[in-house]
Amino acid sequence: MTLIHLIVLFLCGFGLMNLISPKFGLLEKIGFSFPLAHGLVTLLMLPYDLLGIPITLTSLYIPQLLVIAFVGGWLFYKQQLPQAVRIQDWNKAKSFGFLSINLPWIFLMSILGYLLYVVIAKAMFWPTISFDSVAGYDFVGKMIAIEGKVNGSMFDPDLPFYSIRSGYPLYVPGGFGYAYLMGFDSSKITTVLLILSTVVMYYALLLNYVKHTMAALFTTLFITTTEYIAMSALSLSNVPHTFLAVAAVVTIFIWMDKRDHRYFWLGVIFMALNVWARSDGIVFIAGTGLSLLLFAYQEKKWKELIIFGAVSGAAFMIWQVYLSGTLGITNDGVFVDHLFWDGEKFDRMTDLIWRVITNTQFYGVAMIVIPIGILANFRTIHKQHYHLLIAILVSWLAYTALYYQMDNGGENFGYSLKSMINSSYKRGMFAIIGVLYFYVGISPMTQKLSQLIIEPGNPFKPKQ
Amino acid sequence: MAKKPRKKAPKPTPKETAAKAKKPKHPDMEIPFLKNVLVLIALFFLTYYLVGNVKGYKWLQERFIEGNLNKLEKFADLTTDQKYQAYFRFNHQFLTFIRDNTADTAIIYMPPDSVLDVEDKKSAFYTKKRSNSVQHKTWSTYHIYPRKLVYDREKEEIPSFDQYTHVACVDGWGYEYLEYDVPKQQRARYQVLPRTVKGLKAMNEREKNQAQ
Repeated sequence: MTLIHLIVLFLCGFGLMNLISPKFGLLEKIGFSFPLAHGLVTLLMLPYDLLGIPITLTSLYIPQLLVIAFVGGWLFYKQQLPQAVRIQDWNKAKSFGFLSINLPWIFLMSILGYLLYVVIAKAMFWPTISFDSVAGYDFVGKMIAIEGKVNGSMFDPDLPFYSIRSGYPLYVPGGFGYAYLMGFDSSKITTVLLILSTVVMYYALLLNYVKHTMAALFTTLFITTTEYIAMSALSLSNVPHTFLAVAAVVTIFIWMDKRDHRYFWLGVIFMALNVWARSDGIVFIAGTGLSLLLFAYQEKKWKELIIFGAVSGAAFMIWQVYLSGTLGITNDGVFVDHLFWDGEKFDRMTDLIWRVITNTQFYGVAMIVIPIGILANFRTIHKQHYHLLIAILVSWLAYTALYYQMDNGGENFGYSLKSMINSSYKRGMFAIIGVLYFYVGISPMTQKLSQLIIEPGNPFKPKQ
Repeated sequence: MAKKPRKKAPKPTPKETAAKAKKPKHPDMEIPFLKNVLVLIALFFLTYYLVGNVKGYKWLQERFIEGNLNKLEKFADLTTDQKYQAYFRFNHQFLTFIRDNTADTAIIYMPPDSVLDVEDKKSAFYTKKRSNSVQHKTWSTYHIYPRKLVYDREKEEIPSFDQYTHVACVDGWGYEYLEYDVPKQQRARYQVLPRTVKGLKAMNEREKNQAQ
């Protein structure tokens, strides 16, 4: 039965992707389906809770079936069903012969496949043991599944038992709750689906710019980021959030670069889901928003900038209002409520961050490949893909500023700066690493390299 | 109406046929044979070098892949509770004991931190991470949910503290909060008991039924 629930969830996401545009590639549709359906299911939990509708499998199933029926019927009426399931992509795959075998691609995919097998085996074998999940997301998910509401016994002011981690937006805890409602013993199925979706999504988005071998290479480089793969078998919020943040930043960039409007809508939805998973995802709204502001100024596309700000900002605000207004949880004391300058803290922080990001134990060769990639493209840095680079660097800067602003060791926030950088900051970097790899992966020098590896003939010989 | 004679398509020249045959079905995927093999060899050696020399990838190979697969084989027969106990030892065992001996609606009165000593190496609750121990309220409640816990340290903070239905007795602590007397010889080192006589009778009844 659980398999049927998963198929319904997938079809719902697949339907939503077709609703945005049937023109998306098959891999894009597959990669985005589960995360999108998870978004819908967890977004529904909030109005259900406020209106007193019990959160059950049935109450969440009905909207999914409605989406499938509506989109299916609409596509049938418009005679777009073959396009929706991308029959042309299947035919292309079927006609694949022995001579078409690309050995480097197979090698890279084998590495990825084997790693993902270990991740899935580990995730599904061990129960939830990560503290952040036990005291936060998984516990809230369990409570939603058992009590049928978000504002459950955990937040009862007479006998409360929530922790600081119970106040995360619903994408991750709600997704875990839905896993329990579907009948899974472990909520880690959600993490597993999201890491698999990340691989497909990343690969599919790279294909907009590079060929299969390069897409496989950069997907492998990103996914094998040591700390990321290590965390992907645990039920932490960073791995699902990485999907959402990377998808949001990259799709908005693709829209700016290719003027393809379907990517704009996808980007806006995922930017909203990015803060629906973690409130610190606001840094990606800031980074991409600034890049979009520049683009809007250049292209006079103000309408899109307003839509972007309104939708993603609303997702952030709705949760903050619910958190403080209904659940009665505030972030008081976590951040210093005014701007300040502390040179000693700044120096200590930059030192700690440098040690973390240059440690190959955490990010593998990311901090070797990425700077080389950026330097190699330095001559064209202001001409090509600079909107993406601006979005990444501003997001990173804003993310770092957030940690600077924390009131470490304060009355309500006992965690030291060192422990925050070595744990939380380190994990939050996954999305930044992901988009940085993407930037390098689609750069002109990588395309030249791709030409050298893939295309027949000498790439340095001028084309006639 | 007479049918129009169908125009025959001109035969392709041998040059055109050869060009059509050579045209790859998937220009994106196909690479010339020599490049195919050379790039594969280069990638193989690069991977070999990275796994051997970059500590993150070395860790991935030795600890993440091999270590985890070995563990999965070694612990294949463990139950979920046993898996938890492999990580959290007595801290989880004690909570499982509470869960198995109380009703879903129970509110359990937990001892002070000095009794649930997680810092003393001789204590059964000893752990390096206080957050993953019986001292941490949310972490502990997760393992016994939907039961609830109230801690001795919260006496002054929680308005409904006095609603507890059970007491977790540890090392002689807790018997004084029961509404009945437990003879000293019957006091176990770790125990969870109903607060009231009525609760005790119900527990005894339940145990009797289970034994039958």
